[in-house]
Amino acid sequence: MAAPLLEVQSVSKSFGKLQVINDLSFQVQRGEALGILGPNGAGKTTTFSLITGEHPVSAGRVFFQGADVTSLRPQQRCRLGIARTYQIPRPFSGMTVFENVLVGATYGRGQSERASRAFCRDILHETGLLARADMPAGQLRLLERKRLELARALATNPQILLLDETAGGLTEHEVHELLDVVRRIRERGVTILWIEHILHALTAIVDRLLLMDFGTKLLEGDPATVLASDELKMIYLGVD
Amino acid sequence: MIKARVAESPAGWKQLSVIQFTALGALVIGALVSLPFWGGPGVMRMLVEFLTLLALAQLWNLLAGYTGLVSIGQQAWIGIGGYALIVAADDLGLPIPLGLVLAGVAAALLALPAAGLLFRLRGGYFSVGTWVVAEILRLLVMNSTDWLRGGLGRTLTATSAMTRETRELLTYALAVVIGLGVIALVHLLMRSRTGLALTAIRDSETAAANLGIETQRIKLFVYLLCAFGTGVVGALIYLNLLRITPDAAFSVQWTAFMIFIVIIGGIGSIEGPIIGAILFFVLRQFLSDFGEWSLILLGAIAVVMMIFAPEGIWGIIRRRWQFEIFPVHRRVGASSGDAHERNAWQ
Repeated sequence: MAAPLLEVQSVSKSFGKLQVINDLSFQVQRGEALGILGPNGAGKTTTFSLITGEHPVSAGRVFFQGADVTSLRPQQRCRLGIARTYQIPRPFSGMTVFENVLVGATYGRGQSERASRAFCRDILHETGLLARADMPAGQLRLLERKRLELARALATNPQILLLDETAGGLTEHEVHELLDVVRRIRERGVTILWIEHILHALTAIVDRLLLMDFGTKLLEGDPATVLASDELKMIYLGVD
Repeated sequence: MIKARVAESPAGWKQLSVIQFTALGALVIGALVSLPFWGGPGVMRMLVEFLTLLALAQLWNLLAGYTGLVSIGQQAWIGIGGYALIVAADDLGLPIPLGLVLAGVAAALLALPAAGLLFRLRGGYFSVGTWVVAEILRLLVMNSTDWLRGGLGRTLTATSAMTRETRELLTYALAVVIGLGVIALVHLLMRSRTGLALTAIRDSETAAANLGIETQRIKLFVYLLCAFGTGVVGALIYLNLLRITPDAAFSVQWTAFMIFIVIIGGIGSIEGPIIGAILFFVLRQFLSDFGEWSLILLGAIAVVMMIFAPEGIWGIIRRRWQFEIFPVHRRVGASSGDAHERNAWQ
């Protein structure tokens, strides 16, 4: 098998005395979609921050496309092709929706503004935000903010896209619309790593599931096996 | 703490056409350039003061309103700029315009190590830190009793060889170049790719870094640029006043004026500080009869403004008439609203 696109190798993270991630290892193959499950506080979002470089690891290494990226800054990792969305959207509220996406395209993808315009338009179209393009991002509703998170990350032209509870807070209908968009992103060859509590959304997309708790991996495997596992029942239903 | 609040600017707002913008620009430049021929020295002196305040406010707005670096220590660079001019012109015998440039360079050089410390701080801590830096610089100048004559201050003597008219004309010309130059600089910067990064950093530094923006480098660039600009303006102020003391030059009042002008006019826009500077100027003339009370009144006006109209006068105007003179936002354009695309997600 070829080298994995992303490899997290025995990574640990502590904030002071609090150990958030403890000796976590997993791999994501190119073109794959891996879902991450786990209760609140399991360390899922922190794992994302360690992959993007927002937080330095306390121990362990992160490899991307076979290269050690552990010491790279978030900006450098972004340009290599790692993009993420935030669970609580962080739009650039004083800028227009179009400008938000333009930031990703010009700085993340490294293109000039002129060369990026059509590309950004396509992304806004794909994520259903084109009608909102000239509106200040601060005026968007929750669903639109979530779409903007996605659009901005896509504009950096990522190899791997880290989605942090993108379906959370959406209506059933909106979740289905979102799934269509994520499927199209996958079809373009983008690898996906997705934290999500909405199981049916997750299983509609991912090839494998990773179950986390207390900052460590409990189980990893195909969705059916993980969902039927005793570990999952323990965590979510509290039964042995 | 002051939080940069930016008036919204939706699509379809009216802008001046290229011809109108050029005409307006030509009118303003023409009036300013021809003023010495028709206006008296009193008007010229007033305009020098106005243009320096305008330039200071524009630079503070670039730093705080567009980049989110709320400094309350910009007086540091006014003081350094003023002293640098006197050292360059009197001690080194350099020409005045070169002295102004060196004043900016001196401010930027001192801002570099200051940034090394300040950029470890965030939000309110950063703001207080900038004030501390200004106080340290004031005390350093204060303690230079020999060279800079400490608390006694110094007087610019290099211009005493000139006639009063020549000196006033030189000061006025430099004020016009600097005042208009700063507006042009901020406008061009905000329309460039860097401008995109500045507002992104202001709105979410974490997200900006994750999208590939070298946040630290760009913040440093803007901080140094504003220190340079404020240093040049500081030199201009003391070319006009001739006499400098550390207490006056490094007074926090300078930054209070900048904040007042920007808040009243409208933070996060280029038009805002222009309107704010005009208003500040008019108010100060009216309130000068009230003595000490004038500062209290100015402060009260700013507080009322922040509570009831945080987007400032320009924010109200542009929302009411949907109009901009210095647009900085990029637009996709008319086709973005058609029904087919609106329904793309469904």
